[in-house]
Amino acid sequence: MRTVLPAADVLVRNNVSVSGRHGGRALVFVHGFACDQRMWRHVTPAFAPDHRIVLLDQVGGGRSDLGAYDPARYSSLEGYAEDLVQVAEALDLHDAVVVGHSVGAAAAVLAHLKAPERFTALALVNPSPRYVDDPETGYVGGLTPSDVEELLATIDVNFAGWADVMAPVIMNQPRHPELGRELTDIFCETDPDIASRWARVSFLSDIRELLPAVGAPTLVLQCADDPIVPEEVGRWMADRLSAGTFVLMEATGHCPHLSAPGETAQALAAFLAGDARAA
Amino acid sequence: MAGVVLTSTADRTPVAVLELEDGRVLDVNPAACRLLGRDTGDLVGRRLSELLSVGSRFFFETHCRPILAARGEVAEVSLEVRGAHGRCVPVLLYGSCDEAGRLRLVLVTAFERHAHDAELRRMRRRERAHNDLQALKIGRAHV
Repeated sequence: MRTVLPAADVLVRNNVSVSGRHGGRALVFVHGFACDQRMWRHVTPAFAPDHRIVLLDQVGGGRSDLGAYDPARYSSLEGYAEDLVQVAEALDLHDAVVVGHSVGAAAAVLAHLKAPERFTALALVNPSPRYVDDPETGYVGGLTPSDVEELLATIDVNFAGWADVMAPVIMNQPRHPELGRELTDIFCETDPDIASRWARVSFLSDIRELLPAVGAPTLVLQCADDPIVPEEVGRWMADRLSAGTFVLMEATGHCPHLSAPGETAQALAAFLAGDARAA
Repeated sequence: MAGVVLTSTADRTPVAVLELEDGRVLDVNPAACRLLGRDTGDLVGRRLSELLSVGSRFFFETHCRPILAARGEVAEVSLEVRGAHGRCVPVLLYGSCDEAGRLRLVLVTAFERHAHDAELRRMRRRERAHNDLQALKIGRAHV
């Protein structure tokens, strides 16, 4: 069942911001688990002169509407993907490029499959179609089931202090003013219950069987030495896409948009230029 | 004496101190060697990800790195490191990161806190399961 929400409600729910060149091809940036659109702050300026930049916070993250968090809707990546489609509808986007990081990349794939005419190209930054190993098929995602339990416990424990951090901020009385923690500094923190459910959905997701259905040009951008996603996973994923391109970066880690924004922007720009030539 | 006193403090302090560059260990103090069950020569050059349990590695990379990049510091992060004989040791991690990306970490063992957290987590999970069940019942009643 499709829920029809007024466009304004969708834009508020996902704290959508639009900038860049009006009439330029839209780039929709999707962050990963528990973070928000500020993850892209060093990459987007390079595209603002030629593209329409669409930034959003997935529900539960950043300044999304936490009141819109419905555990049933967000019990799988489908709910997050449906949100992306609704954002595209609300902005009347066509022929947009969806740029997703980590589990945001998996949501981007689902969003493309739901609305292929709205999202016509995908750029996936350190994506994984499945984080957990699957011994039956020999697939190595990097996590064993007991690793997942340990990760979920780590997330539960570390997000538990969220209310303590947020309460003085909401009351505008920083408990430690010397740290200069303003609202803008609350980053990658969220309600512990949402974080726990979101983590489960993220790290137990599996979109492997959907990959062959993705017909759009897709960039799989992978860091060298990613401690989260093995390099083979990125290659494996690109191989299963009908128009997938694998690019291994010099940057290391899991968040190249933070650690190497220049290289990330360059790889993305090269992909966009190639896609424009092909069109 | 400036500089010498603190260097000697780092050598004698019971908490583990590590300095990392480009994700690899540059230097450690003796307490870090004891905690991680390896000598300095064995630790220098290792990646941080090798020293953390898998779950902690995921948490650090997806959560702590972005915060370090944005805010320059993280505090009171509850993680597990791989200690001597491959045993996982619960720690609290404090870290700061400078403009050049050099990371300074302090690790404090947290056995009691860990047990307490585990108990709290069990309670919260029970409460959540109970609430979900109630929501389901209410939902059914409206059908």
